[in-house]
Amino acid sequence: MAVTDHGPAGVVVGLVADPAGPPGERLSDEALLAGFGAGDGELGSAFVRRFQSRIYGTALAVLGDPRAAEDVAQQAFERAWRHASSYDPLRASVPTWLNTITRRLAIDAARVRRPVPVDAGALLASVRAPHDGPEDRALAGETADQLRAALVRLPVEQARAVVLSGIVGLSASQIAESEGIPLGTVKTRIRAALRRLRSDIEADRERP
Amino acid sequence: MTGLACEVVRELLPEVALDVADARDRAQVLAHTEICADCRRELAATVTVVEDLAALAPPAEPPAGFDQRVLAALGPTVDLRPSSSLPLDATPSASVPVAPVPAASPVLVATSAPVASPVPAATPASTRLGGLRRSRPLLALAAALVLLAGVAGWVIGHNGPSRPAPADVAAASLKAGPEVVGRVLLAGGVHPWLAMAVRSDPSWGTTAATAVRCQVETPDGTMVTVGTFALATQGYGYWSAAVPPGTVVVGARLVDPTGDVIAAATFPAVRL
Repeated sequence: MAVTDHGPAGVVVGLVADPAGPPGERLSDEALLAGFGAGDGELGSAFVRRFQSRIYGTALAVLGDPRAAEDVAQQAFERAWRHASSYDPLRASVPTWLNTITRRLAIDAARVRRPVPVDAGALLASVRAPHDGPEDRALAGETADQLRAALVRLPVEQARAVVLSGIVGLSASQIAESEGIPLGTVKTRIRAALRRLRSDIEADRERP
Repeated sequence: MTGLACEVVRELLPEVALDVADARDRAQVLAHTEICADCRRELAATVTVVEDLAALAPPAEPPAGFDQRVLAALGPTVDLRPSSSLPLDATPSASVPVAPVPAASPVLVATSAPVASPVPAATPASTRLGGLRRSRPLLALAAALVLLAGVAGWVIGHNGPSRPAPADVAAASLKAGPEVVGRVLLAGGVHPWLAMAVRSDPSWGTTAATAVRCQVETPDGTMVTVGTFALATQGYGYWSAAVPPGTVVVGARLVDPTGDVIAAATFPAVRL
């Protein structure tokens, strides 16, 4: 089916539904979000299914508790539904936007919960390894691979600190307490790690 | 802002970007970045790295039924009827309310230049006549509607202090003779629009190069062309376009280059 032309009064959109597959699955993230926000049952369901493992995984990494993680994941989808109309595609991709919402909710929830011990070494190993599943790879994209490679290149103490703060959402003082190291050292490691990750990614992007 | 203040801000900036700073530090950093472009850029760049890092959290499957619980929790305040529950051959007087949007009502605003659509590239649909589920044009039309809302040159924005109520949508079947070949939706509001899903047929003789016109009919018989698009030999086409505000619509039709009517839908008089 040819993509459509523009009419005199506005924009035309062309799309073909693949008869071989579930209709919702071939739509873009933005389209699913818009359908979710508009209250469409099938598109909303497809939206939740597409992102639920990422959202739940993020919440679980912060909270460590499945029930708390499910609560937060549900809140994240509710917030996304409420704010779907203000989503700005120029600011962030849909998965990033959703993940940010989730992470903030989870960190807030973690503040009032009894902390669950985190195995920083296991988490770091898990983060460094690519996740299986084409959906996850498609969502994560090239940046994720570059970032994993950059994490591997970091000194391990910097990698631990930045993963504990970036993924588990611990503050520097929480990391200092749980790792038994001075607060200033933690802050230095986090700052150095972020700076190094950023320059590595920027260098990768500039590479021909 | 003095260099010293920037130096202090740069110390606090990583934890602010990580969303783990205390409220006071966060407020100080954000206040500073309001007026210091360098620190603002630094914060933005750090936030980007943090977002990418946070995305590396290992995915995990939630407990079974999670998606249904999410949708059920939203149920009381939103119309979650599946689009496929709309009868394919609804009488023209059927009015389908758009799901009420809580808090703010989105207004569709066309950008000055259409943005390249992130929609997946169209692939030819090899469909047998009548070989598809009856609900497909409706779901696809719902998809076209949300595409209209979210991508391809349309920006969902808010109409300043006055927020129009969500518009009702009038729907009607698109027929080629006695056969239903698609669906048309009309929506009013500040920026009225029409969306159409149509399943083309080889007997129409259209090709990828055929430009068909979509027209709306007004009560005095005037035809207003709202858009043209190419309709291939087989498969579905979905498209949408703005309709001039205040237009009273009693019908919509597709017309081929020779002026022949390919398919048509009728409505009770709908003022958009």
